[in-house]
Formats: sequence, C-alpha cells, structure tokens
Amino acid sequence: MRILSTAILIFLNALSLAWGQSGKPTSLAELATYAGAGREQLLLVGGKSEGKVVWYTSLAGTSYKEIAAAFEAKYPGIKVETYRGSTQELMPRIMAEAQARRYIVDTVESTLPLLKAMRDNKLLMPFHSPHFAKYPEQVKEKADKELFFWTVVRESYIGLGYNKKAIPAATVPKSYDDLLKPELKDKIGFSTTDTGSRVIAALLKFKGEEFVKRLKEQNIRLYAISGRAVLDLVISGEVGASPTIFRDHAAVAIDQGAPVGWVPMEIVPTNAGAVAVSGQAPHPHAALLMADFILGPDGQRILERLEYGSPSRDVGFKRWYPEQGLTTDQYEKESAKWDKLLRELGRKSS
Amino acid sequence: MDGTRWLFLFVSLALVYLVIPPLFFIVWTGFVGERGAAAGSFTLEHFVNIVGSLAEVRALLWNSLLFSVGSAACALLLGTATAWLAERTNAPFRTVAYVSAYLSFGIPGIVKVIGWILLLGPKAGMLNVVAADLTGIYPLFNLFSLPGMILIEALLWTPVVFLLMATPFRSMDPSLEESATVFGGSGWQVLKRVTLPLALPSLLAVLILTFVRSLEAFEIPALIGIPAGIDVLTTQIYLQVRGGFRPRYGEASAYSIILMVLVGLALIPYYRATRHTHKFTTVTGKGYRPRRNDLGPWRWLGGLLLLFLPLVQILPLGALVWASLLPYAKQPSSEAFALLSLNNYFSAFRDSTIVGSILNSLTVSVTAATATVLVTFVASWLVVRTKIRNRWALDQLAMVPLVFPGIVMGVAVLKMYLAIPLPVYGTIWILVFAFMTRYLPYCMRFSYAGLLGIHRELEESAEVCGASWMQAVRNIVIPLVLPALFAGWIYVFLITIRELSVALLLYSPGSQVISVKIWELWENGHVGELAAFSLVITCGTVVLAVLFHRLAERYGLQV
Repeated sequence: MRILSTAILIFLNALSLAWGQSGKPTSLAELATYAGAGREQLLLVGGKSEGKVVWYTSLAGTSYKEIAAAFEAKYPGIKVETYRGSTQELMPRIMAEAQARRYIVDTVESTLPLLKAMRDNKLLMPFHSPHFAKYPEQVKEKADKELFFWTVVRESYIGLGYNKKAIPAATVPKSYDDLLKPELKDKIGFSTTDTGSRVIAALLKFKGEEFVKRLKEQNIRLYAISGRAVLDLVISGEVGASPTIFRDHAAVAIDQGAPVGWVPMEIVPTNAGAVAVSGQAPHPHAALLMADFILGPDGQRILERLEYGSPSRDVGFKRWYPEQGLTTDQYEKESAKWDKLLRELGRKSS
Repeated sequence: MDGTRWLFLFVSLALVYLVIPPLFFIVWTGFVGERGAAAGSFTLEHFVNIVGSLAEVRALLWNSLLFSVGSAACALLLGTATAWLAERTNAPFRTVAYVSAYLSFGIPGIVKVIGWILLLGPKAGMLNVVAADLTGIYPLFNLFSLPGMILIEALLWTPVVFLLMATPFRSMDPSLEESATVFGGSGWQVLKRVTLPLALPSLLAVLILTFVRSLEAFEIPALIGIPAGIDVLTTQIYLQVRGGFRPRYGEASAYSIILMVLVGLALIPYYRATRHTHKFTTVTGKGYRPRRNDLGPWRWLGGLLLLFLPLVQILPLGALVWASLLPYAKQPSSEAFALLSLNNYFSAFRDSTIVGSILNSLTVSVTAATATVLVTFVASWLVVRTKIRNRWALDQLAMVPLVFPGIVMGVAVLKMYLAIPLPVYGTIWILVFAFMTRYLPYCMRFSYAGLLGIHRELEESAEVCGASWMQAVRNIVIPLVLPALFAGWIYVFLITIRELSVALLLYSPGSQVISVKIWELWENGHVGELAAFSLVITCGTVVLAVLFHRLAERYGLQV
C-alpha cells in the first residue's frame, strides 16, 4: 500500500514539474495575467478547443454583428454567441446567473455602471492586454499589479434624432428648452431603457425637476425598446423627434438614405462602453481573445467606421457621464429616481 | 404497497414539485426582505413600496380592469355575432371564417400585434396614412390609446370566441326555437327569449375566460400600452424585473400576488357558470338539425361580417410582408418600391441565434407537451379509476396553476431555480418545467374527459380474463384514451410554441425560443429581419396547425 501511494506521489510530482516546465497557463487567472510571447497563438489554440465565446454587449445597430463576424473570420473555429441588451437587461441576467452559479458569459462590453456593479460583486477578472498601452490611463480601471478590470473602447452620444419630413428645419430643437416648442407637441418619443433614464438624469441636473414636469405637457410617448429601435420609429415618421437617439446609429441611417437628422443638445449624456472579462468565464482563452480583439485595431476600426466616439477625441459638444462620481449604490438610487420620473413623463391618466 | 400506490406517490411528488415551489417562492419573495438589514426576514416593505402612491395603484387596477372588461366584451360581441351568422344563418363565407379562425392559432400573438402597430400607428401607420389621404382626418385611429389596446386584444380573441360560441349554436335543439315561432314569436323575440338564454352559460363562461386572459395579457400592454402611457399589472411586474438598474423581485412578487388574487376571484364565477351546464342541455337522443335563419337580402351583409375574421388575420401579416422587404420602414411609394429586396430574409437566417431559437422552441414544446400529457394522464387515471384515499387532491393540485398568469409564472419559476441548487437556470429545461406547470390544468381536463368516456367495465373484463391492471391500462385504456391525449398534446404544443410572457423572464442567451427572439428583434430595432423571421415562422406554425387539424378531424378529436 505504502509503495503504491509513494508511486502516486512521485507520478503527481513529475506531472506538476512537467506542467511547470511547459509554462503554459491554462486557468483563467493564469491566462489573464499572461503577457508572454505568442499570447495570441496560445489564446487561439485554446479558444479553438473551447469552440465558442459568449459575448454580452450593449452595442446596438449593426456594430455588434460586424464585430462578431470579423472575429469569426479572423479566428475560424471560434464561434461568437452574442447577446445584445441594455444595461437594464444585462444587469439582472448577470446577477441571476451568478446567484444560480450558472456561468454563461465570457466577455462583456457594456456601460460603466454595469461593470462597476460586476466588480463590486467580484464577477470580473482583472486582465492584461497587449493593446492597453495605446489607451490613456483615465479610461482604464486599474486593478492589482499591471492588470485592469476594464478599458473604455467607445463612447456613444445621446442627442436628438428627428425626422426631416415631420419636423421642419426651423423647428428642430437646438437645446433642451426647445423641446417645449408647441410645434413639437405629440411628436416626441423616449426610449424607456437606461438611454431614456440617462436623458432624464441630464434634464434633472441641468434643467431641474420642474422642467421635466413641464415636458409632460408635450404628450411625450414612451417606448419600451432600445434607442436604436426608437430611431426606426423616427425614420418611419411614427415619432417626429426623440432626444434618446445615439449619434452613431443616426449616422449609419443617414448614410443609408433615411430621412433623419441628429443634433446634440447643450449637454450630451454619454455612454462610455468598456470591455471586461467575466471572473468565471467558461471559455477563458476565447474570452481573452475576444477582449483583445475589441481592444485591438480590428475592433476599433469597426467602431470608428460606425461613428462611435472616443474619450480622447474632441467631438465639438459637451459630454456628460451620469455615473461620474457615484458609487454603485448611489447610482442605483439615482437611476431609480430617473426611471420613476421617466415613467411619470409618459403616463396618461385614464 | 401495491403498484398503483407507488404510482400515486410518484405522481403526487411530481405534481407537488411542479406546483408548490413556484407558489411558495412568489409568496415568499413578496413578504421577505431582499437586501440590506431586512434580507431574509419577514417584511411588508414591498407592498408598502408599491402602494406608496395610492393613486398610482388605483390607476393600475382601473386600467387593468378597463382593458380586460373592454377586450372581453368586444371579443364576445364580435365572436358571438360571427358564430351566430356562421351557424344559424344562411350567410355566405362560413367556411372561410372557420378556416381563418383555426389558422389564427398558428400565428404568434406578438407577430399580429407588431403587424397592427405597423398598420395603425398614429403617425406612420399605413392605414392611418391612407385614411388621411382619403379623408383628411389624421390620425383616423390612434392605436396608442386604451381603445387601441382593447381593440387589438379583442381582435386577438375574436377567433377563439367564434369557435367556442359556434359549438352551442350548432348543438342547440331547434324545436325550442320552432315552438317559440309557432306561438307567434318574431325573429328578434326568439333570439332574445330562447336562443340567447340557451347560450347564456356558454356566453358567461366565454366572457369570464376572455376577461381572465386579457387580465393576464402581456404583449399588447407592453407593445401598445407603454407607448400609450397606460400601465397595467402585467407590465408593472415585467418592469420591476427588467426596467431598473437592479431587478426588484419583491415588488414584482407583490404585484403578482395582487394579480393572482384578481384572477382567482374571476375564476370563482367561471366555475359557478360552468358547474350547472347540464341544466341547459339541448343535445338529446333525438335526431335534429339546427335551423338556419334566412337573412334574405341581408345575407350578403352577414357574409361581409364573416369575412371580417380572415381580414383581421391577413391585414397585419400584409403589413409585415411589406416591412420584410424594406431596409427601413417606409410608406408604399415608387421610391419605396425601388428599395424592395429579400435582404432581410437572408440576413435573418444567417443569424445562428434565430435558427437556434426554432430548434429550441421545437425541443421545449415537444418535451413540455409530452411530459405534461404523461403526468396528467397518470394523475387522471388514478383519480378516475382507483380508490386511493385523497386521490382528489391530485386533481385539485393540478388546477392550482390556473391562477398563475404567464408573467407571474416567469417570476415564480425564476426565483425558484435561482434559489434551489439544481442546474436548470440558463438552460431550456427551465422553460419546460414552467410550461408544464402552467398547462397542467388544461391537459388534466383533456385526460380526465377522455378517461370518463371509457367505462370501467372494459378494464374489469380484462382483469377477469387474467390481465394485470398494468396490462389493462396498456392494452385497453391507453388505445381508447389516445385521441384525447393527442388533443391535449396538440393544445400544449401549439400554445407553448408561440408563448411569450412565461419565456421572457426565463430565457438565457442560447436558450431563446421563437417568441423571445421576435421580442429581442423588436426591442433592438431590427424590424425588417423581425418581419421576415415572423412570416417564415407563421407559415411553419400555420402548416403545423393545419396538419394537426386534419389529424384531429380524421380521428374525431376536439382540440
């Protein structure tokens, strides 16, 4: 018996030595810190054996589809399973998955409130990427050592999208005050996702609660769909104008010949979208490869072509980040207030 | 313990597992603190939070009731009138009306609602734009309003009411009406004094059924009610889970409990109305043929009214055909015709999650239908055929899910599988369990009715000839009851393949079913792809519905 147990111990020891000599990281924690040569090849080989990467993103329009397709073309053998949702949709999903210990997501691209909540709940893996050096320090969320929780890869600007046929040029609002123009009555629509509530946050901060209540007189209509989907209603003329439209989505639609325009208001609520890796990613190689891809030139080229902004570039209007300076709990309380005001804005008494 | 007792124990455990935990978790979540110092302890804070503004709750209840009563009344009026025209008059086009009513089961509700939004949106709805050109009135009908919600919900229910009311009109003994005519009653008096009173129990039952279903409705309140600024209980439940930075399960459960109480209260008169239906029996051993009233020159007007049934199916689908061919929404024009292409069809079916959702739906619906039929058949057999004490509890247990509206079932099952350590959340199996629980009562009725129709003598004869109870069941009961079980299977399959409200809170990436995928496409603004996908799915489900209907006709089933 003793001989057998000694033999097993020697075998295990030899195995661990061989492992150490090969030097190849395999676990997520090891891979996340790996900065050695051949990183891309290592992740690619591992990713191929994993077969897929599950990517949760708040990118809308065609951008997330294009990124997934470009990734699959560059790394054949790794399928991208994308789930697109607003912060309000991704948040309960990620929390529920963690509670049920059912880990599905590998890589996340979403807004900072979601990522902060994930970090606070220890659901993110700090990681290294060879592309981090190209990003300014202020857009990276530092963790221990040389690792980061996330890096902002794009900015989306929320402004006013309008239908050129429904809203004459002279009536197009240039500021939030202009939303009260009588010509715009019955013509304004809001998205009820976090896009809408972040616009309410801006109105509340810069114009005051009284202004939001006055806006109700314009018979605002709410739509429980994303800002991108509200843009479709603006294109069709169902909604004349909406202050919950992203610049990049409007730009793509304008390029396609849709009869819409986009103008920034005096303050532009901005969604900073960052890339992070799940702390329990079931496909660790593919998860990091996907994060590298979005952070790298391939992903960035797609986002730039689709008119997404960058925090380091001057955009010609005043950006405002509603979550700035707020902890997750504070943001939750504030966003509950914004949501409530938004719902009241659209509510009709029966 | 003999075999039947083991079977009883096993089925009881299965039913308890399906029904009790969801009920427990919805109540538990409603009365227990979720976070902070109060986490895990009894609290009324969720109820306090939702009644924080009494006016708000009052408006919510009022909207829910107005919407449900209005929809039920309109559907009853339209459905009963068309059923009467089809069954008791010589109005033409009755076959077209029947075919379209059956086919309406194959079209997912969300698809029809989106079609109506494309048609009747106040600013860009195709019908409103055409009407504005013709009449100068703009908009002719504002869909985003309470009347809009009521109209569309009623249109969704009209084919169902039509089919449900056609049966009593068809099976009514004409001698009662003839007697009234002989004694000098005019056509209107006969209708008022004889025909309608005879149909009263059915009318009342259908009215309550439609009311309860409208109270539970989710698609129309979400897609039309929210833009209209009209909140109802189901949308509030959804918004508590999906409409904030973090889900508020406690408040969602509190709203759910209120809704379940309302549904429960409405079901009491339903059972009272259907309990004494034998008093109104008009089908007897006598041979009869219901008389058709001659409408004279008005018969063509009756025919036009019957054409209303296919029209309300075709119109929204037509709008979707148009949307599926365009890169973005546009009114018909020469400019729009130049943009027509099949691109949306190609891009929709290039998306692997869309194709995956079809496979998921088929897996979920086939499994849920088969498992529910199996469990309810055994439960019904135990109730009808054995003498085990407390066997009636199985029937009562299987009826409990009637008070679970779809969206409430979603919250309840979600909370259950987040709490218990079974690896079901995040897989399609969570949907199978939820659908099984939700449709237990309906399947139970199919099996129960099937078994009641088979006399005990047949099994007794087999047993006298030396067969065991298992052999008697296998060789005699199952073959005879199979048509009823198949009818139950078809019912659950066709309902679950287009169900949205249960699935919406339970799906995970990779486990989307068809209705959820359509919802996602709408939410993310891919209307063209949505229209293309919906039309292909509608073709598929309609073909399935026709196939099942043919089978049902061939084997004399009532689905």
